[in-house]
Amino acid sequence: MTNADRPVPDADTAARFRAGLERWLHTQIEGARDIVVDNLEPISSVGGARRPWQFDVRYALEGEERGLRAVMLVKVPGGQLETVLDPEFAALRVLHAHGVPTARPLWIDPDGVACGDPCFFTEWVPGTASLDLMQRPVDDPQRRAVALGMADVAAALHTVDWESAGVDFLPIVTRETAALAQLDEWEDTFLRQRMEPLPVLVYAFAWLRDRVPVASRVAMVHGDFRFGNILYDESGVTAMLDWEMVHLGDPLEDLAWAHRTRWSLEQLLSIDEFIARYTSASGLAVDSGAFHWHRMFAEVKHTVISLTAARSFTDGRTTWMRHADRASMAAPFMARFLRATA
Amino acid sequence: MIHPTPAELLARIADALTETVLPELDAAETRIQLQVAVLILRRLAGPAGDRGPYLDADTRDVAATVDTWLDRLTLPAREAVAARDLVDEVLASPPLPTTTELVARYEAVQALLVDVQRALHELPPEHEDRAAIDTELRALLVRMVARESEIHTTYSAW
Repeated sequence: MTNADRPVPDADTAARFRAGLERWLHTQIEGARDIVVDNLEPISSVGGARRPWQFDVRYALEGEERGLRAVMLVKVPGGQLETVLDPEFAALRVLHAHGVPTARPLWIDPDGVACGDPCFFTEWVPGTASLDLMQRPVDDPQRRAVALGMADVAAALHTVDWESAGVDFLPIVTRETAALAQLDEWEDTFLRQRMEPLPVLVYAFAWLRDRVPVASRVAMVHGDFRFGNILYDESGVTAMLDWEMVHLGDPLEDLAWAHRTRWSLEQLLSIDEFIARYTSASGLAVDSGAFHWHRMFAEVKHTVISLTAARSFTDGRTTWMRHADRASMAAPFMARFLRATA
Repeated sequence: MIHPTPAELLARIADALTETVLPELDAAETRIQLQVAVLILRRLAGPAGDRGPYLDADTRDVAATVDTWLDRLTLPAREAVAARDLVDEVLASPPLPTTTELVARYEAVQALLVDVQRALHELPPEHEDRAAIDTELRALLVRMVARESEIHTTYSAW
């Protein structure tokens, strides 16, 4: 077990991280002297792929005292996803430069020199990711504002000119292969992670494969675009978080994922209103048949993520209790798939 | 779906609690509470969690033993009839497989269901059996998922 895998980091871990950071940051902030890391503390997070910490860093540079508040995202080994840090960090650079609401990327430590586990760093962004907004009264104005804000974020993300930006760190797909590439990737993950044959998943993958849509365009896709992965405050959405599944693909994938039952934006805004706002902001049309396919794919993808989490726990690669019973998610997800494809 | 089995799940939860929570607890009484809970989890992860075959073996043993006594002892007429019926019913019932045996058989029929799906896809689209079998397959999967949903209720609203 690594420190990053611990649900409750202890004081020794924080002290070790602080010392490691102060040493390592000298190699990242050119010319900086007297680097001090302070107020280092874990951030409560429901995400499974990265364990976030926040801290202040102060240093002297060119005769001036400088500082900023940063967030360290530590890769969690043996979680619910198989991810690497470099594409996520590189994508953040492109997206932040193109005005998509993201935290500004700062540094990356792919070898885990600073704290023992691979991680990268962004600037701290104000806001909360709390799901409490879903529980507020229906007429609460912030509910609607945040949902519309997410439509705007999706529009900004999906209209990034990724070809000009030189996104060579993501696998290239075409309009014809965008959805198929995701289907292949998740079926491959399913075949490697399953603990039994699971004929209902085999059936679901075959159903999807018989009906793969052609994307209206290829875009940078978040891959986990949903309420819970955004920061918001009184001003609206301040940043989109958790880019570990970013890829080139069909933009409808994000819109469908945002409307999965558990976190569906339908609790805040009707799908029609969401899509109208998205279309208005992006100029991209939403084909209802393709959207349905992506909603069904979302059920299958979430099932595979859950099976991966369960496998990690069963195999002893993680001790995170949230993963223990994740295999039991398959039944409700597949029941929904079978109902919606009847 | 059968994995993780209850035994696999309980064993790993016991491991995780021992590795991550127990070291963080300072208060003696709290530690004892958790240590006892872990011991119970480990017991349930073992043979104690599979009570069906134990109950079956014990019941069958009682019935077989009492069977030889019924002709030698005198019971009131109504009780004698009921006793004979019960003993005969127990001894005639098929043996209850262990969970391990059931899991192996369940995995085998799951694999069979994957194989027949592959064979189904190899039928020409216009073949009359293709649509018919697909409809029956789909209905079977719906029934399987419905049964599974009856025992896996934690995430039913997700």
